[in-house]
Amino acid sequence: MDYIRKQFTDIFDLSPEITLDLPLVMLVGQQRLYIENHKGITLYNPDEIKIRVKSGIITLTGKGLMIEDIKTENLSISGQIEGIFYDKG
Amino acid sequence: MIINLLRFFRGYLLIEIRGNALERFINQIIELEINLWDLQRIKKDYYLAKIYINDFKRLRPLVKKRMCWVKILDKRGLPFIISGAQKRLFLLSGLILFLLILYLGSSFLWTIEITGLEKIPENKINQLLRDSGIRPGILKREIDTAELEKELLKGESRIAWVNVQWRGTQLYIEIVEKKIVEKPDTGNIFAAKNGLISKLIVLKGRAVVKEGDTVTKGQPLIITSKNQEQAIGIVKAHVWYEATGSSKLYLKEIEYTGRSKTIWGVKFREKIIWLTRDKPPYKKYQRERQIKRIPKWRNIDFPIELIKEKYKEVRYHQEKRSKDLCFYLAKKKAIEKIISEINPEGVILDIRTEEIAVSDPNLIKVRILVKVEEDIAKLKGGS
Repeated sequence: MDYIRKQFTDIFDLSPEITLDLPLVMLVGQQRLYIENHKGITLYNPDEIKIRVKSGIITLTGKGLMIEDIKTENLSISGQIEGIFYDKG
Repeated sequence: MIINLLRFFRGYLLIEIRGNALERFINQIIELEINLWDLQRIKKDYYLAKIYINDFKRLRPLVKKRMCWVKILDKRGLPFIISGAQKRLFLLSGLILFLLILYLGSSFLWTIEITGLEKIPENKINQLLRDSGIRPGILKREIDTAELEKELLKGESRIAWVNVQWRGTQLYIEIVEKKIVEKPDTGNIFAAKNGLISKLIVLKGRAVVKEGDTVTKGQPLIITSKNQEQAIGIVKAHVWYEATGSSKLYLKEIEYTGRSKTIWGVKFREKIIWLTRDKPPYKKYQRERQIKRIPKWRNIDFPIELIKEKYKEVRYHQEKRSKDLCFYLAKKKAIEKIISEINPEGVILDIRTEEIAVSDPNLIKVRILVKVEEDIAKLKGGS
């Protein structure tokens, strides 16, 4: 099913985050991060945040991290961001 | 920025969340489509967050299910400010009422001030204002000052210039009256001075006196049969001017030696305390006293005055003058007295000078008599 969807998206040149429900990550310098299509947070500490997305977990490391806004679809994180890692959950 | 403003208008709560596995709790919250922001982890089991007021009520059932505690720390935003102000309803309504009264009060005309009137009675202006519908108590914006100026000028012909302006709630009307040149009440010619008529030429009208007559001031000379017509004529008369002058034979003159000294003192009620100890040692002196007061403030009159006295040493100086010189000086004084009265167009025919005997041997007194031929025709009778 996913394969067909991917083919469909590629053929019609559609945005994969909408059609495939993939996360869209936007980073502003080192101070702010937006994530669309998240599936909730699994860990929150001021120096580490783990966010669940469709295909795994995004880990953020930094200092004084703060969840600026959190909604069902998107969230934004502010603070001193030092690293972004992608784990296959 | 805009979102913060929106949050402020909607009103939000600062809450603290305590408990274990708070990440899961937060996930559950956002699944209910509850919006959280500024989420901060202070300690392991202690979060701070912000939430809209109406969302907070939906949080309740979730909190009950889990082993979590949610507490409101602060209420922020416009709805809370309004509800806070509602408690002080009377204060607020009083403030609004005060501003309203102030605004309303300042938009009415309260008083009318009219200045510059001399001959026009104030009632006349008041009547004109009333006719234009202007009276204390009407709204200020109903009055067009430029229009009112025109109306006043039209309504009263004796007004030369008028300025209408607002001074707060006062309508200030400044009026300048026309200077009306008074016309002679009749067309007759009168005598301006006492004299003996020497020449009389009548161009229009009828003469009531003839050459050689003595006339007194204010007497009619040429009259017209019809009052509307102006009499024209030349009336020359011999007019005598008399004046006396005097001069002293011995002249006492004050001469300053140039030495002077200033002393200071303080006057308290009736006592004077001299700050400078010695008074100047001059035998003869002129004293100038200056008193400096503290300006009167309200009704309080300060009883302290500062006194400054300047002593100028003088010397008297006596001089004897010749009789001829005294005579000349006295005559000069006498002429100076009458020279301004004589019509500059007049012709001086004769000057007679005589000495008057006086009891004081030091004094010489002189009378002079000047005979002048001048035009005494005047248009207006009386003075």
